[in-house]
Amino acid sequence: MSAVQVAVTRKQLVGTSQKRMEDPKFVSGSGRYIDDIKLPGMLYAAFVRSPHAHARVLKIDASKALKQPGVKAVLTNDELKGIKNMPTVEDEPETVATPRPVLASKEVNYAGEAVALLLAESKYAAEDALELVEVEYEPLDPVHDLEAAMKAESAKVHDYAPSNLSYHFVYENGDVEGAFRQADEVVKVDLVNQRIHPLPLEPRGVIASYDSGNDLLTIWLSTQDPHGMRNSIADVLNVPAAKVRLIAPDVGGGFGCKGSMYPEDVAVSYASMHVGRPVKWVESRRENLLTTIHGRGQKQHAELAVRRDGRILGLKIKIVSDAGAYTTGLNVEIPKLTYKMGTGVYDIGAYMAEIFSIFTNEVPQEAYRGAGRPEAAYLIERSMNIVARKLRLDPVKIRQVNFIAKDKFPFRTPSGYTYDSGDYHGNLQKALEVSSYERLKAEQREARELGRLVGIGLVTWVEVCGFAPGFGQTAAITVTKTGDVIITAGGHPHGQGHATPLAQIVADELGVDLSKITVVHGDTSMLPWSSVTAGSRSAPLTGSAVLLSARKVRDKMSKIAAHKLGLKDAKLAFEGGKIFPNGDGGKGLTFEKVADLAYDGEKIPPGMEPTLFEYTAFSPANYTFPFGTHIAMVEVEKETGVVKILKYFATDDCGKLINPMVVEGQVHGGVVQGIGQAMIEEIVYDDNGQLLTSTLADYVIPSAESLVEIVWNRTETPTYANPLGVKGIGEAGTIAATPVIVNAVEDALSPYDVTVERMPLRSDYVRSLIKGSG
Amino acid sequence: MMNKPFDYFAPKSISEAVSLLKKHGSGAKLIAGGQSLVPLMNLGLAAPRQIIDLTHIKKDSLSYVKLDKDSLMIGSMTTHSAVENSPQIRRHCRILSETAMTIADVQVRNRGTIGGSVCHADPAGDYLAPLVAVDAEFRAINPKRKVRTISADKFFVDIFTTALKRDELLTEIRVPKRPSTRNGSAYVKHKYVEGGFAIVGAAAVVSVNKDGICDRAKVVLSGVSTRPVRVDMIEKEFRGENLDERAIEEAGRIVREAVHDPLSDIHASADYRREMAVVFAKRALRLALARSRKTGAQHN
Ligand SMILES: Cc1cc2nc3c(=O)[nH]c(=O)nc-3n(C[C@H](O)[C@H](O)[C@H](O)COP(=O)(O)OP(=O)(O)OC[C@H]3O[C@@H](n4cnc5c(N)ncnc54)[C@H](O)[C@@H]3O)c2cc1C
Repeated sequence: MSAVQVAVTRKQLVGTSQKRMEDPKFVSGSGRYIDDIKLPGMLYAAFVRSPHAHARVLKIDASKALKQPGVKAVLTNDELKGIKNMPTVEDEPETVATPRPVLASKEVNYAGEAVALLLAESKYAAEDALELVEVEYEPLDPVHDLEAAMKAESAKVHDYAPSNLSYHFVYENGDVEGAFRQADEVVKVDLVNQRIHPLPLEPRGVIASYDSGNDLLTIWLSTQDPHGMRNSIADVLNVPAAKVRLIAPDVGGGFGCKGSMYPEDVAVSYASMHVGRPVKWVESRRENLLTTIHGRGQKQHAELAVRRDGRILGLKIKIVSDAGAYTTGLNVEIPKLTYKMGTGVYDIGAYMAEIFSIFTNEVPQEAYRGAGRPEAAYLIERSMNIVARKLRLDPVKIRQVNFIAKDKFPFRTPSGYTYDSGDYHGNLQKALEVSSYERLKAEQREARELGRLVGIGLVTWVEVCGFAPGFGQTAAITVTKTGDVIITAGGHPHGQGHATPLAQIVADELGVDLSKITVVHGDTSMLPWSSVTAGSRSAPLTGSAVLLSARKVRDKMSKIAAHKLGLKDAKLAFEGGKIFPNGDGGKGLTFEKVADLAYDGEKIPPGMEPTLFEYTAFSPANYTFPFGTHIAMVEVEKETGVVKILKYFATDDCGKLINPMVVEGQVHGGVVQGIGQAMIEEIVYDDNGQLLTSTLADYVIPSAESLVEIVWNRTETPTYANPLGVKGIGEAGTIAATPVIVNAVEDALSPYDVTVERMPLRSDYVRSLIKGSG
Repeated sequence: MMNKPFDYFAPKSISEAVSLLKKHGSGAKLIAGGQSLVPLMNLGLAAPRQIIDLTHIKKDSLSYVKLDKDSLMIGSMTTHSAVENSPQIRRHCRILSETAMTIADVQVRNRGTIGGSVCHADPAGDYLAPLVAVDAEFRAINPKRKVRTISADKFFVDIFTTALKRDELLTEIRVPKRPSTRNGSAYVKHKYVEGGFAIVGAAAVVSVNKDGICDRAKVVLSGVSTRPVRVDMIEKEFRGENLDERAIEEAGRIVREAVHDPLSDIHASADYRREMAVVFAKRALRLALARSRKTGAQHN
């Protein structure tokens, strides 16, 4: 290393709220999504889908459809030559692998599953011809109810599997038996975490364009994971990844459901190679509800060994997870995450978990914002409240008695994670202050005296994010000869607002204005590798890769500047677009000048390579474990069961903050989705496996009218897992909001001494609880 | 799923529109605001072969609010927004403005029409109950230019079914004018979600004499049954009664009896609908009564 040192002395942008650079484009309708892209000669795909939840496919006859004007081709799985099945688990003896052709060829396993792809000159021609493809089915008994599916006499989703069990795992840590022997009381909790939909505003979509001259397939995909999807699609198509370029344009929401590869992605890609023309497919909303993955969907059971003072000695949980029709990689992993985060913020030594993953004739379940951790927080945070009520303890008190103490971090949990850092007491204390908790309780008492059903809910959440040691994220920084800065960021934003915080980091390091910085992402040709945007990874991982790249650039520019200025031993400052020795009042060289020098091999220190391009693949030292306290006040109208949220306070700790406004925005969006699950959202299938919630009139989501002001505050406990000290905040809201609303409603209903077992809290259900018939 | 292909017609006059209806028969459909028909078509639940668009007919021949000595007249193509904001409707039939306000969102209200809404006859349609409650009349015209008047009570036959004949076009809704004093009305809606359809919508119309004694009290419910539930008992029971809390409780009991076979869906069970019919009927009655007693104020 050189003797030249650098110091940043000016006011930092990191830690300050900056308006999002990408917003003008989005709010003015200038975003560019899949459906905005039109290529010359493009064909349109539509999919023939199964009307049955479970059936044998006997015959597919496309002859009539092929006679329709504009129809180019109909492809069934038999015509997809030389390709592999969709991925399932491999070499995992405990888990049933489910071979699944890209297009269902022998059997369909959920309503809406694609059996054929139709190509036509226009979208209308394609859609119109769909019903002329005649498919003969032999209906089979559908598997729908989780409990029934587990019984020996149940119909089976896959006849080659011994039962409807995808897998069954048991984990035991610590002396569980002993803990339950010592307990003053054992509290049992049964909950349903219902199946819901991630519901991005932009549905899925893909365009594939094959260039036979170069043997290059270019795919535009609405995805969270450009490189991952490039690799997966190439793999299933049996072509080298080098021959596939994948571009993610603007992505209008993903929430986990765009982190996976879907049959349509492969089929459309194949079709383009097959006909030699670009092919486009954009999902309709009905297809979106019917075929895009769902999430949550667990039956949950907990048993808590408790001491009279509220101390939890041991915890047993049982999770029955609805896998849907197939074993995908993710629907194996997500229930395990529920197990791994099952003890939450509490110091519980003895912990046992049992997971059953069950096949049903429904859409596979995968990652929905939080993926496994909201389910964990729901189970433990609902359980803590139920225990508190049993023991007549305040929900605050029971948490304080069980928190992992501040001085125990890094803290090894019974499930094997090492929580990086935390101050749960401190965060709770702040939450109590900012919500004026005592005053809320006084208001509640007054309201109760008037016969009003007012309740307060409290949740202290923790999650795991920043995945993972060994699975990092990349970024590169280019400073052009003209002195412009380009951040090429790994991952791909689908609404989070990556660009601004990443630019803030670089602006601080290089002392340039935000307006000098351009952030690009989403093209596999830009970086050797990048990984999925999910699990609140982008701030801790992409952010760190950007920071480290910026430091490399700064180091190199320092050396070039020092060389030019003839300095040997100087501290160089990067400030206000200048690079200068500390104390020379900003004379030195302009940033542009040094950039220009960098491209001239004769003007840089001997032995140095010209140009300014630095790349970092960052792998963190540990996961990160953000946490926080959410408090809500609700009122239930006794006569109708209508729940109204009166107040909402979120006090989160995601370590250091890069841009508090972006953090707060993430919390707002997450809280709204969490409230959606608690209050109104539910995927409903009937007993025949037909989706009843196939439009947005039936699958209802929250709108501005049904929400309250979210009062957001924070504490800051940095992590050691990355150089920024940030933890990630993308999922906090969805994790905390669902249990906090249900806890509040249960508290409001405490005069009736009922347990809220189900969601959503439709007025009908809440009213039935009041009447005692729930 | 996409729409089936259809022929599109944009008649310039009412008579042209009804001739087209006659000419094309059962495959033809009128379209007004499209806020019910188009969703049905997109879901594949309706597949008209001919679409006859009413929006090109000279504007003031179907979209208007007028008054004469006895009635308020509303053209069938009057949008929900116009109903919500019309000063004449606010003055002479406040309950209709109040109802329009509860429908969906601004976008739907700017396109959807009162005529389309009643012809669609969705049991959860908000206008159904108040129009029955205020004794509205519906005027329809056929290709022979024959005008027929149908009372609101007879108009709504069943789920998505009205008394209109296939070749009839609804032109106007008439509401009898009532003195602005000692009349009160109210529409209260129990939605399953903000901006959503009614689980129950209750319309109440009350008249009191100068001593505050009830001349007339009527409740009609949307959303609970395949057609509006008109609770006639209340009219009989309460004539001449002093409408106090006890009477309102009694009204609730009558409503409970009157709701047979309530609808059930994923948003609300049949039992819950019946229970809410009672709750919201009472709320509507209380509100209507309070308004009727604000003498002098225009609160009917
Ligand atoms: C998102 C959404 C939410 C909604 N929420 C509500 C709600 O909360 N409450 C509510 O009441 N409604 C609601 N609606 C329905 C809305 O009020 C519609 O506007 C109304 O039901 C139909 O009116 P339209 O003018 O759009 O009729 P169209 O959809 O054009 O037509 C409906 C039917 O009426 C027939 N028709 C139309 N005009 C005539 C005429 N003059 N003569 C004879 N037949 C005719 C058509 O042939 C068709 O069969 C909602 C709609 C949407 C899309």
